[in-house]
Amino acid sequence: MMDAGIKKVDLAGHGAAAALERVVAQVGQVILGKTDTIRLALSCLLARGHLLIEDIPGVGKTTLAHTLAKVLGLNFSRIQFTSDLLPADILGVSVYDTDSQSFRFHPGPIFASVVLADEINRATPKAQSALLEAMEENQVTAEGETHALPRPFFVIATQNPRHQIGTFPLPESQLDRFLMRLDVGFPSQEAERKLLRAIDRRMLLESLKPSMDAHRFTSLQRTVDRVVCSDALLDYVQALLNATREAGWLMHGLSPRAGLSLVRAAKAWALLSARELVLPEDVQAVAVAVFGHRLQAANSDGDEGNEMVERLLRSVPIP
Amino acid sequence: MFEFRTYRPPDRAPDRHAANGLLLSALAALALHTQRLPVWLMLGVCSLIAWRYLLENYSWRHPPRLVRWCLLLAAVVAVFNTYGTLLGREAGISLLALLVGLKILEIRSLRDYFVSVFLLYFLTLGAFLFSQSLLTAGLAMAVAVVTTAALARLSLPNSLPISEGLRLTMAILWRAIPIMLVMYLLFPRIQGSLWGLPGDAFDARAGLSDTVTPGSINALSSSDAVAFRVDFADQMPHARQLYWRSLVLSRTDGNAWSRARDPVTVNADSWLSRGIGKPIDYTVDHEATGHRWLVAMDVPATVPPEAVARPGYILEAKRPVHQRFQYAMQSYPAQSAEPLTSAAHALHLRTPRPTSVRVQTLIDAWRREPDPVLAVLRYLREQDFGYTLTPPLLRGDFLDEFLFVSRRGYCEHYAAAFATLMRHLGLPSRLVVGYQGGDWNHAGGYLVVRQADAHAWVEVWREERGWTRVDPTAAVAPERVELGMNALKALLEQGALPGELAPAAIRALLEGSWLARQWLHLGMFWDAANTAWNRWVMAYGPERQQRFLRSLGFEAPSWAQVAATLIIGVAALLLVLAATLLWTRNKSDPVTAAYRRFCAKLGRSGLVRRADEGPLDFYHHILTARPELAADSKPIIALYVTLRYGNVARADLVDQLRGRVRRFRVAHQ
Repeated sequence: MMDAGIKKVDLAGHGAAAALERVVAQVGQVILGKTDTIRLALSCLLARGHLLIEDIPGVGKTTLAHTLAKVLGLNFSRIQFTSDLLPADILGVSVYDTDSQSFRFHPGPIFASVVLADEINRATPKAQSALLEAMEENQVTAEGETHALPRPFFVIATQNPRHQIGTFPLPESQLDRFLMRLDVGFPSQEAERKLLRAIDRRMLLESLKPSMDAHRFTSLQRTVDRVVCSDALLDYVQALLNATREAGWLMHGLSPRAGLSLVRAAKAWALLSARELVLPEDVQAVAVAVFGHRLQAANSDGDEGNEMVERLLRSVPIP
Repeated sequence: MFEFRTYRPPDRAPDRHAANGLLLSALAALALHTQRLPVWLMLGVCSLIAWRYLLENYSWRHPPRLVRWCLLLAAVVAVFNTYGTLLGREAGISLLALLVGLKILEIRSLRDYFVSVFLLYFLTLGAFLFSQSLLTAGLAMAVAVVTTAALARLSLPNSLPISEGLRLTMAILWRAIPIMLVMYLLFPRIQGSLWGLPGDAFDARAGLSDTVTPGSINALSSSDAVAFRVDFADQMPHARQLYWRSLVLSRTDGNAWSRARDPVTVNADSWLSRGIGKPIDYTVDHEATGHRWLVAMDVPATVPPEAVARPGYILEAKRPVHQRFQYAMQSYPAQSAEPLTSAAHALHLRTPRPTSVRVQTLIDAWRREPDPVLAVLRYLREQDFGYTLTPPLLRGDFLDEFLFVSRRGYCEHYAAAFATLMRHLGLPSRLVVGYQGGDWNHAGGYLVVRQADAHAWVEVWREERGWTRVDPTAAVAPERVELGMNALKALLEQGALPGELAPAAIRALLEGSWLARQWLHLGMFWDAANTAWNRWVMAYGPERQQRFLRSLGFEAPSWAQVAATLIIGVAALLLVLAATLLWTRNKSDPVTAAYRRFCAKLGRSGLVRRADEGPLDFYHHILTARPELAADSKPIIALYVTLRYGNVARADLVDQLRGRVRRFRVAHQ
C-alpha cells in the first residue's frame, strides 16, 4: 500500500510496525488469503478488545484464534460451549485439600491470555454471562475470593449465525462487549487450491514459532495509545455517530462507547499500517467490524448490519 | 436545524426508485390539467409515462430514434388538429404536456432527468394561466413539492433513504419562501390582459346581458357561479333591501328591452345630495365578467375611482372587468325625487300600441283606477299567475300571450309585462336588471351573490317620489324576495307553489338533513377561504403595488424601476443565502481551505473527490486516473495529512502547503 510519502515514525522506537507486519505474515501462512481479516483481528487485540467471529463452521475460525495466540506467544485455552456448560466449568472451582486442610482454588480454562469461546451461543445465558462478566472485569470472583486474570487477556468468541435452534443468541447489550465482529468468509479460489494441496493446518500450527511474547505485546498495546488522533478526525467520528442517530432507517443511534471503540480500533489499524496518526481511511477500514454488530435496521427486512455501515460511510462526507 | 451538506453528485444512473419518483411527479403535474386537456391527450401522455415505467422496471427496450421522431410528429399534428394552432394557452399547454411525456420516454443520461424535472415545473406553472384560485395554488404547491422531492432523489446518492430527500426538499422550499415573497411584491404587475395572453385567455362568462328578452335571465337560474361578494361595514340590511342594480333598460319594442343609446356621464355629486335615510357602507368584491357594468345596492351615492356614473344610478367600469376587483361603495335606502326632462319623459313612455283587444280592454279598465300601479299588482296577485323556472315559450304578442294564456313566468316576464303596462297606462317606467338577495356566509361574514340571483324589476316615475321601485315578481312569489333564490328553487323542487305556503311550512320544507347542513357549512368555509385568498393575495394588483412601492420611497415607480428593484432584491437574498452557506463551509482553517482548492482544481478536470473519500484514497484515485499528476499531488497530500490529522501546527508547513497548491496545475486532457 502506497502511503503518499507520509512520514513513518516508529513510536515505540523499536520497530513496532515491522514486528506487527511479521505477525501478520506468519498468521497468513496458516490462514491463507485472509490478510484483511487477520489485520482486523490483530487490531482488535492491539486495541485491547474482545473479538467475535461469526461464520459457518469450517472456514477457519478456531484456527485463526489459535494461530494468533501462538504467533503472539500467548497461552491459549479453549472452551467448547455446550448447553450443559456451568459457570464453574469456565471459571474454576474450589476443592477441599486434605493436606492443607483448606479449600484450594483450581483455576478454570478462562485463566489464559487468549480464551477461545467456541460456539458461545450454544451455552445457557448463565454460562455466557460468567464469561462476559470476566471479560468486563478482567477478574474472576469465586467463593468470595477475587482472582485476577492474566494480562493481556482476550476472549475470541465464535458463533454460528445459522442453525439458531436450541441456541441462546447473545443479547444486544452483550454483543456490545465485543470490540469487533468479523466474518471470515470463504477463501478465494487460489487460496483454497493452495489449502487443498498443503498439509493439515493443525500440523502447520504445531511447527509455528512465536514471533513475540506477552510482554512485548503489552508494550505494543501501549504504543497504540500514543497514536495521534486529531480533532479533525474526531469530527469525522462524531459525524458518523450523529448520522446513525439521525437516520430514520436505523432502530437506534450508536452509543458513545461505540464511538470510543471505533477510535481505539482505528488507532490500532493506523499502527498496523505503520502510521503514527489516524486517517479517515483507518476509521473506514475498521468501521464495518466495529459498527456492524451494533446497528439494527428500523424495519426487520432492512439491510444487514455490515451493509448498513457501508451505506452510512457512503452518506457521511469527511469534514 | 438543517445544515447544508456536501452531497456528491451521483456517480451512476439514478436507480429505479428515483426514476419512478420522477414518473409520479409527472403524473401529478399532468393531473393539474385534467379539466382542460382533451382526453386523448391525457391518455397519450399517460401511456408514454407507462412505457417509461415498463422500461425502467421491466427492462423494456428503449424506443429507437425513428419511433421517437414519429411520436413527436404525431403529437404536433394532433395538437394542431385539435386547436387549429400550436400557439395560445390551451394548445401551448397541450404541446408542453406531450413534450414532457416524450422527453421522459427518451431519458438516457442524468442530464435528461434534470431537463424533465424542469419541464415538469413549467407544466405546473402552466396551471396558473387558467386559474389563480386558492385550489389551483394549493394543488400546484403540492405538485411542486412532489417534483422537488423527485429532483432531490435524483441528486442524492441512491443509497440514501427517501426521508433524506424529503428533508432536503423541505429545506430548499423553506429557503425559497423569502425569494417568493420578494417576487410576489415586486414582480411588475401590468394592468390589463395577463402576460399578454392571446384572446382565448378570457372565456366568455355567464352573466347579465344588456338586452333582456323573456327567457334570457332564466338561463342564469341554474348557474352557481358567484357574481360578486359584499362585505357590509355594519349590519346586513334586510333581504327586502338587497336590490343590486346593474343596468337600466329604457327602450323596448314590446318584447325585448335594451339600453338607451346615449351613454351620458353624470356628475355623481348629485347622487349624494339626494340620498335619504341612513347610509350603508359596503365593499363589493366583483368577479370578472368581461363587461363594463358593475353592481351597486339601491340607491348608490358614490362612484368608485375605477368607474364612471351613468344615468339611472348605474356604475360603469372604465375598462371591461377581466379580473376580479374590489371597490368600496355607499348607498342610501331611498332618494329624493328628481325632475324628469320632457325628452326623458317621452322616452320612458315609448312603446308599440297593444295589438290585442282584450289587453286594450284591461288597460282601459285600469286607467279608471285611482292608483293603476296597485291595481295591476293586485291583478297579478289575485289571478292565477304563477312563478316557474321553466316558463312556456311565448310566441306572437308577448303581453297578450302572457296575461291571458301562459300566466307562468320568471322575473323578467313579470318585469317586462309590468313595465309595458305602465307605459300603456301613461306612467314613465323602465326595467332594472341586476341581482336580488344573496346568501349570507357565516364563516366569512359576507354576502355571496350568485348568477342565479339575477333579477329584473321595474321603476315607475311618480310625480311626488321620482323613480320608485316596483317588483311585480314579489306580488306573485314573495319568497323570491324574502327568502332568496336558493330557497325558492328548493321549494319549487319540492313541488311547493310560491305564495301559498305559511312561513312555518316553508321553514319545515327548507330544513335539510344534518349532512346537507354540514355540507353547506363546509362550502361556506371553503368560499370564505377563497375570498380571503382573493382579498389578500390576488387583489395585490397594479394599484396596490404602486401604493406599496410609494411606501418604499419611489415617487412614480415605472415598471423598469420595479424590475430593477426585483432583481436587486432577489440578488441580495441569494447573496445572503450563499454567504451563510459559504460561511458555514469555509470557517475551517487555511489547511482545509488549501486542500479544498486542490480538490477543486482536480475536480475541474473531471477528477472529483467523493465526499467520503479520505486523502489517502484520493491519492490512490489520482494515481490510477491521472498518474502524471501523482508526483505533484504526493507532497500536497502528505502535508495535508500531517497538518490536519497529525496535530501538527507549524506555520511554515501551512505556507508550504498553500504554495504547492497554488503552483499545482492540471493540464486538461
